[in-house]
Order: sequence, then C-alpha cells, then structure tokens
Amino acid sequence: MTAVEGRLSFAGVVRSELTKVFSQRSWWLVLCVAPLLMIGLAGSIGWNGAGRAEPLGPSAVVGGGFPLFALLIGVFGLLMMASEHASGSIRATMTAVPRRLPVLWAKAVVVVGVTLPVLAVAYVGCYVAHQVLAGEPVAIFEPEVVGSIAGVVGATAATGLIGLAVGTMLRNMAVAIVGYVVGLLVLPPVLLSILPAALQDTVVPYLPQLALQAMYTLGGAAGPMLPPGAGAVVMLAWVAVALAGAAAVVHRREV
Amino acid sequence: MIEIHALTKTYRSVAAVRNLTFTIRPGLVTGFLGPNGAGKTTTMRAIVGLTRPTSGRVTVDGRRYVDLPDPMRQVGAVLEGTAVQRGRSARHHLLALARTHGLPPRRVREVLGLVGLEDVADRSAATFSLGMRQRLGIAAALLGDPRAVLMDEPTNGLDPDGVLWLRTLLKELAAQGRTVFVSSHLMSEMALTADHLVIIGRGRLIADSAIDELVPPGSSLEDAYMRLTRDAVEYVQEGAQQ
Repeated sequence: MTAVEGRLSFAGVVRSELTKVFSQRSWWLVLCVAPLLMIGLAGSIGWNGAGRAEPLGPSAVVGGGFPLFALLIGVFGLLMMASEHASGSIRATMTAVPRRLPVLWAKAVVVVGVTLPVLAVAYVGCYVAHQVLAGEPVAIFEPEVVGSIAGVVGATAATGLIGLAVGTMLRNMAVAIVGYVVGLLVLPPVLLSILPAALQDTVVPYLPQLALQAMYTLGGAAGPMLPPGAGAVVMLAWVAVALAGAAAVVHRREV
Repeated sequence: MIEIHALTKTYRSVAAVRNLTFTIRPGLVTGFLGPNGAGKTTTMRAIVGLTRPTSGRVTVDGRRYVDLPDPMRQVGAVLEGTAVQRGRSARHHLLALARTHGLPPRRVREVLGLVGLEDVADRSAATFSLGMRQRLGIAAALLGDPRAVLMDEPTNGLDPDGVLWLRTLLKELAAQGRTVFVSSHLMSEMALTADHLVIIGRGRLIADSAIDELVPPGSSLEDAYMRLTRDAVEYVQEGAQQ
C-alpha cells in the first residue's frame, strides 16, 4: 500500500457534499424531472390562454411555477442536513470535519451551485413554452423578462438556503418540513388577519413569502409589496439570519 | 499517542465521565472495558470532538482533534455502529468522506478490498447486514491511513471469521506503530487481542495496566474484570449476585 496524502480543506468539503448529492438517485430524478414537468405545465397554461385579450405578463408567467419550486428546492436544502441526522451519517461527517461549520457553508454553496443552473433552465423553459403555445412573442431579452426570470431564480435559490437553515436547526425531517411550510407559506396570511390594519402594510411586505414574491414581480403589484431590488435585500437578510441561527446550532449542539 | 487529562462530561446533572485521566500509547492494542453506562462511548466521542468536555482536555499527539489539519489521517474512528444514508452505495459513502481531505479515489478501492466489501461496494449500504456495516465503518476509519484507530464495540455483528480477521488487523495496526484503542464487552476476545487494558466504571478510572499484570497466571480476564468492576455496575439484574 502506498502512502496516503491529504488534508482537510473547504474545497474538499464542498466536493464531498457534491458527491453526496449526486450519489443519490432520487435527487437526480427530482432535479431533472421537476423542471420538465413545470415546462409542460407552463406550456399547457399558455395553450389554454391562447388568444386572451390581456396576455399574462412575464412576472405572472414565471411566478406561476414559483410555489412548487419553492417547496421542492426548500425541501432539497432542508434534507441536506436533516437526512444526515435521520440516518446518523452526520457523525461520520462531523468526525471528518471536526470544526463542523465548514459543513454548513459547504452545503450552502452546493444548494446554490446545484439549483441555480437547474432553475435558470427551468424558468426560461417555462417562459418560452408558455409564450410559444399562447401565440405570444418570445422576448427573452426584454428587461422585464430578464428581470422576472433573474428574480424568480434568485428567490427560489433563497428558499433552498432557508430550507437548509431550517433543516439544520430542527434536525428532525418531519418537524423541519412542517416548520418550513408553516413559516414560509402559512404564517403571512395568519399575521395578516391578526395584525391591526395600521401595521399590516408596514410589516407584511417584509415577511419572507412577500419578499420572495417581490423579487420577481416587475411592473406593479397588487397589494403591499416592495420593489424587486428591496425584496432581494430583505430576503438576503432573512437568509443571513436563518443561516446564523443554523450556524449557532451546529456550533453548540452535539451530534 | 492519545492523552486524556482530567476529562469530565456532564449531561444536564448526570456525570457520564468524571475526572478521567489516562494515556493511550502507540504500538499496543489498548482494550477499553467497563459496564454499560460506564462512559466508554462518551470518552471515545470526546477524543474525536463529537462530545465537548465539560472540563479537562483530550489531545492527539499533543493537539486537540479539532485543531488537526488532517483529522482523518491522524485518527480513524468506528463509533456507535455505522450509519449510511438510504440510497447511497458503500463506495459513494467512502468517496464523500475521502473528498473532504482530498484523498485519492484509489484509496476508497483499497479500503473496500481490505475489509472485503468490494463485491457489494455499489449496493445501497442501507441494506447491509450489521456485520457488513461494521466492515464499512472500519473501511471509513482506515481511509486516511491514520496513526491512531478507535473502535467502539467493533466485533458487534461480525461472524467468527470476521472476528478473527479484525483481531489480526488490530494487532497488525499496533505492530506498525499505530495507537489502537478498542472497547468491547467480550472478555475472551479482549484477552486474545489486547496488550494493555483501561477499565472504567461509573465514569471513573478503575484500572490502567498491562493485561499480564491484571490477569495473574491461572485466572481469566473475566474473573479479574468482575472483581474490579463489582462496585461499578449500573444495571444489576434481579437475583444476580453482586
């Protein structure tokens, strides 16, 4: 046996996390099949709405796929950490990387690195399929179209990071999935109904769900909503807070 | 060399390990014995940083495990059974671990051969039997060709052939000058494998000496162990003699 060389590096931890994602056939399937399904769905919506007096704007076209992708990518991020706790493989991971935090950051890099290209292809595909089948012009380089697609891709990738943070903090898969769905989708309408009307317009646009929507809503929104750039900044702040909470848990709690 | 100095670990108000001090020297197989709940697993977890000591220090060749630039090349650990995520093959499990340290993929093939799993390397490791998972855990521990090896109950689930193979492997690793630290409840196996013994009970050190000193000629390790741990057994069966 020849001498074994090697030392721990962040690049190595990122490669390790990539190996984990791509060695699980279920994720290959999800990441390949889901975009195709969504493109088909967008196409059929376009087909049914063909000849409409007021065709859907680009924000509405790409935004239609957002809730499903947000769930999918959020759960993808969430399972990256929670499934290691469920199986117990987290102990082998943290023994190899005893400083622990690099594992969280590497998973964050992989969540963004893997989902961005998939999402870019998926949303562009959705837009093109919708426009073609609706008989509308495909104006992929129009600023509003580019902005909507960039916004929705960024917003969806952000849900992956929020998912990773929630999965890291809650550890248990079922609890984390419920926590993610409740926090992101159920809380805003509840808050909307219990907050005094005077506060609603000031608080609600800053909630994650609304900030995410703001990121891809160009050309005027119904109801209280931030402009896309401000929505992105607010969402980045949410992601930073969530990952900081996750980092505290990784640092303090034993595995 | 692994040094454990005044290690104390308290979970809520219960002390799992109390003021434990001993040294695990290279070139020997050191057996780690003690009744259930004595703190063996806690001690082993503390060596690789999975458990943070409440007080005290654990060092590997003078440094804390978390401060090592290449942990997998210094210590290989088999702890609490070996867990693999559903749907991942043995090969990919090892490859993911190897990547953290930039270890070459050929090293994954080598350790798979070493533990005899090359024929099942591409099967989902979640379907492995206990003994196969134990072998996979040993393969993972050896990936970095480490200077020290820790194994918590490694004979669990191994067939007689596997037990013999493991005994030979541990002795070889020690003969190569590595530090080998193994816990077990099987006294007869320990008597055949270990050169040195550390015995703890209720989180405290009971004995730390060469096996020949603990077991006088004509008696067995089991007798010696029962005598030493008489007052340290946590869980006593009804009707059993103390």
